Amino acid sequence: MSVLWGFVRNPVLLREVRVRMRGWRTPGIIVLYVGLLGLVALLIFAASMRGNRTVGFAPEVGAVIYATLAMLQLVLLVLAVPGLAAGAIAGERERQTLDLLLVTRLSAAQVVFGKLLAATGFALLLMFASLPVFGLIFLFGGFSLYRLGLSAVVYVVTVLLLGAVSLYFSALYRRTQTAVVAAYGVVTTWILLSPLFGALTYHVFFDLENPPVWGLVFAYTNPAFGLAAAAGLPLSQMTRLYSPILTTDAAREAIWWKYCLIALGLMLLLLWRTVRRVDPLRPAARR
Amino acid sequence: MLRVEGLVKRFGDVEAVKAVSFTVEPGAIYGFVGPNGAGKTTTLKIIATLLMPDAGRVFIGGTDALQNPGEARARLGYMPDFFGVYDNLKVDEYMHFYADCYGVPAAGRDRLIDSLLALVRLADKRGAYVDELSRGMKQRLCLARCLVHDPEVLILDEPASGLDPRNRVELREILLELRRRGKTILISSHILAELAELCTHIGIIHNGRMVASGPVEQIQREAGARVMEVRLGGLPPAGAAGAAHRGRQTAEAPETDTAGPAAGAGTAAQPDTAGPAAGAAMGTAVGTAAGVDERLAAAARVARTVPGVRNVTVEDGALRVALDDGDQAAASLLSTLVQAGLPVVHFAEVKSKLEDVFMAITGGEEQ
Ligand SMILES: Nc1ncnc2c1ncn2[C@@H]1O[C@H](COP(=O)(O)OP(=O)(O)OP(=O)(O)O)[C@@H](O)[C@H]1O
Ligand SMILES: [Mg+2]
Repeated sequence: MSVLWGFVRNPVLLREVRVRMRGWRTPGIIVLYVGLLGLVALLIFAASMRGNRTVGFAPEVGAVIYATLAMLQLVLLVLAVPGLAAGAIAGERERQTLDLLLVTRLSAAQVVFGKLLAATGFALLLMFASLPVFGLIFLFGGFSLYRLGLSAVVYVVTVLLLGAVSLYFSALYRRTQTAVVAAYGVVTTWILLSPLFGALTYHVFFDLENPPVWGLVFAYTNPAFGLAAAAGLPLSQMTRLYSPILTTDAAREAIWWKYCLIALGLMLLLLWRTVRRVDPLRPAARR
Repeated sequence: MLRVEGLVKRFGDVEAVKAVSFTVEPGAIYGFVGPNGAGKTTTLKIIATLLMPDAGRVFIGGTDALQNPGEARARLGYMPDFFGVYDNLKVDEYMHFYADCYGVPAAGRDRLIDSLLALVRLADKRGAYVDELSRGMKQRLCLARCLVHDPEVLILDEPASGLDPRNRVELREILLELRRRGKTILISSHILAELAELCTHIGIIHNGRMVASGPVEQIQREAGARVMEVRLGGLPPAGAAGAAHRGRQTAEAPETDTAGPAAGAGTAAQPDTAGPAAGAAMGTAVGTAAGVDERLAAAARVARTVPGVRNVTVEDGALRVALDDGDQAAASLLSTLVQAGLPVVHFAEVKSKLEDVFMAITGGEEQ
């Protein structure tokens, strides 16, 4: 019980929250973020008003705005998280404060967990702050709250996974700069390239009658496809890329929870490796 | 209170610490001394549970620090040689943060932090941002930080480095106060003089090996070094040119000191260069001074070739030569110097300072 309390009431997290809440930067970024999403929504709406007046408040328009914002939000989160998390441990090392933290009664696991929450918490805050915008689009119709909820789950899982990947690089490299570059490199490369590999696997190199099962790796590990499956039409059209092997709608829809499970597993594995790297008395630690 | 047994630590091919063992009694201030690269920081990091040794054990009180690091961490306060502070954090927030990390109960914490800040004389800086403090203040803050959980043992890695003389004196007073409060203190330095007046015990480490460990007086006795002071003709005795006598404060760079006294009194020997030398109050590179330096350096070179000589330093215009015990070495030193044509006017045994002991033991490789 007290162990659990130690993780929840984490000093590392509390300090970062306190520092981040100081001044106008954080509220400023939130306003900017929500403003950007709102602006994009407005532009799409305005475009739909130009041709046929009656289309303006139709569910089709709502669906398009929703799909665009959902993907845009994913892109923004993918861009934000490595920047927030990759410096977390390397930065402490560079600033020579890590040792001071590790000689306290905090375990390496508590330090890493606090860093994960501190870094991803801000991204999650942005995500929740965007809910009012989605609420407005909901007035158009075109998607269900159920779909919005599923998307939120995919966002949370994705942010945690990207946070864990970034923390891992942060513990691996001594310099913040290297860690940030590595985290961005791996994350963006994977998200951009895995659909390409998926397409090559299922549509070019292999026999369509008999597609290879391992190609599903590209579907189940990519947050873009997880989100597409969770968000429903029209985004879920994206998952048709894997239709040679995921032949039914249900199978394609299942991508979202399979992605979440795999991502959580991967996250735990990465966090475990990170804790081992940070713990000074583990032989794996290279210090 | 603190016992270290057979520590070994290798970094690749470098064996930084080789079978280091020592014991620190409860209530002692144990000075851990060695030249740069001797392995002090490595040893202290192992004790502080921040580094896994390749062999050996560490006991803090009855706790095996490597088996049970959590309990050991609760019992010790560690101040690293280099450390940083967070941006955007105020002094009292900084203290509260580490109190949180150590699980210090919230009740009475404010009073505790007040008293610690008062102890390190930062009481009036409570609301200042930590990254805006001066180096000396940061150092004192770090000391207050490592006291926040009331540890029994303090491990301080070169806490005085980078401090001005006044801050050093203050630090010494704080440490003495902590000792009165019952703390056991392990403190490292590469300057023995810094520790001599403060410590009850001294351990000397050299090239990763403990070469001596024990009470201060015992170390002085065991080292058995005999120190001869040698002066050459035409050079003034120490302090003759009072104003320029900055002798012992700058013991780290003793050779430049000879320039001061020489510039004043060197007129008799070389009148042609006396003019500019007298004008240069802080004179260093003037002709006469260089001549004196050269002569002393030559004498030091000769002295180093004599068997039985452990170490030679130049200080206040005189050579201080640490010798093996016994008359043999002293006799051959004198005859060698004279045979080399050096005008020896003064050759006397002086009371060995701890600094000489240290130099004798470590072979003075810092020179
Ligand atoms: N992380 C490391 N990786 C490789 N070698 C190291 C590492 N840390 C220390 N060493 C080596 O171990 C030896 C002892 O270093 P250490 O820092 O313990 O010396 P020290 O006595 O603290 O010196 P100083 O007075 O300069 O602080 C040195 O030769 C150093 O190069
Ligand atoms: Mg050191």
